[in-house]
Amino acid sequence: MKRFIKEMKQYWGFAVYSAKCDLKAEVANSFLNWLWWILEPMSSMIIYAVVFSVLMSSREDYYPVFIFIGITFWEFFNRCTMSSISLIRGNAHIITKVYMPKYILLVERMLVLAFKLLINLGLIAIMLVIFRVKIGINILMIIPALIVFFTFCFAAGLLMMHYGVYISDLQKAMAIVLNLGFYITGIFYSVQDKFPQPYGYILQRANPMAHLIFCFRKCLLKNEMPSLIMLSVWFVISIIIIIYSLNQIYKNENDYVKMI
Amino acid sequence: MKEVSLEVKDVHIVYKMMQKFSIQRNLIKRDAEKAQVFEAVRGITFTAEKGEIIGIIGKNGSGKSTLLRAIAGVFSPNEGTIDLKGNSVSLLSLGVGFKDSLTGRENIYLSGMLLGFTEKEIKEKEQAIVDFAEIGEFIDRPVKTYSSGMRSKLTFAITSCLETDIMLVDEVLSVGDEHFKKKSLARMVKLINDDNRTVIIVSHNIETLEKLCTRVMWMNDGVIVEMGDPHEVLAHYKEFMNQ
Repeated sequence: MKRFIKEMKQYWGFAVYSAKCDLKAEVANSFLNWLWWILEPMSSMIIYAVVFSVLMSSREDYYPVFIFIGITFWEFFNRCTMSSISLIRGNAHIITKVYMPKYILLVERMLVLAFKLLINLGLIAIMLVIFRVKIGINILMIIPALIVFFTFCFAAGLLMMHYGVYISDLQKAMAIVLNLGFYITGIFYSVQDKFPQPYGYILQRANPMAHLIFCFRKCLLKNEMPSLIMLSVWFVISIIIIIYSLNQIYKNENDYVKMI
Repeated sequence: MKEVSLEVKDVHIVYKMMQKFSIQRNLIKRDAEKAQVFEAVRGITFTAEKGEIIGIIGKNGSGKSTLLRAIAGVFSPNEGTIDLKGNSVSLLSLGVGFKDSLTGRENIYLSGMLLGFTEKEIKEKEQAIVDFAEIGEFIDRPVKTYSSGMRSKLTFAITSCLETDIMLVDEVLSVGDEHFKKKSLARMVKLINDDNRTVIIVSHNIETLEKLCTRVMWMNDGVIVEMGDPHEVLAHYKEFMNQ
């Protein structure tokens, strides 16, 4: 852990600079590109909102915002885990030339995604105003929820990054798992209410993504305090996964270079 | 006796030829394939003094590049120790780790930071690197638009301008066109003449090694066959290769 903090300090500058350049390169490719960061989640929100409120007659308060929150956080998690699988192999040309702690690659990736998430959070704020959602002091609870969210994504990313080196078809398997995850996580419905009890209650809490999205909606849309106990449970679990994965990565990073 | 800048002691490096695990393959048939072990470097010991320039020669697959990578810290040896005595080290080899979608200038910063320089230090060297690389306006275009010659020129410029205490050079002395070749050779000679720098060069070019090196190490199948005076070692090597 000490080593982790020391290296983090040393390589943070690299991660930030690299993330900045990546974002810039994305914009440079076409002048419409930064608009895509907004258009993409917006259009999927509109599709889901239309399909589910018209065809399936779903009833949730502030339905478009409800969906948009789900999409925003799910997309972050989805991209983070999927891209971390091929992170080591994709950066082979760098890590065969110079030593770097391998998880810095994940940190860099997450910074890029976090920037896009920030844009979406801005959009959510605008939508809250447009839909005249009553905002209260509990909106501040988004901060601890975000911390748990990033910790969890980092944990999942580290785990995938390590096994992605050794398991060649992990990407395909994960695509299926994440596809299932998308539907049971309640991006466009509320897990707690749609499943018969007590399954709804259990599915909500056993699935970290479902629970985190539930918390975000609670403090943004309903001005309610999310359960701090469940948040801390998932925080502790994430930390354990991080420590385990870091140990694995430190132990095996010697072989990564030889594997790829 | 001069100060020792690098100490390599009984280094062994093992490659595990592991078959990559696949979920699908494992579901279909359960064959636990034994990992094959291949030892690329088998007990290398040598020390380098400050200001020395060591050439490594040997046929393909004799473990030269593996040894160099281990010294650069890309991976650590399975056995034995490599002591850099606190010196900074950089590996200069064909096609450095560039990010293809970023511009040459951004890649200068990224490579520099990975070598342990701060943004400010790189800024000071930036112009020198750009000038030396001679790739003109391409410096602000994405690296994926570069020709292979431009790539190697930029690589060489970055590593030779961002000076580290120990420089490891892997087969890059024949970079670019005639003009750049001469320039980079001159640059190498200048870097080498600095008494504080240690350089290790891997090359197949006997003349270059003869011209530049103070000592030559001949490797074969992961062990040192001979190490010492360039003329002697290179003569023996030539004899061996002509057999």
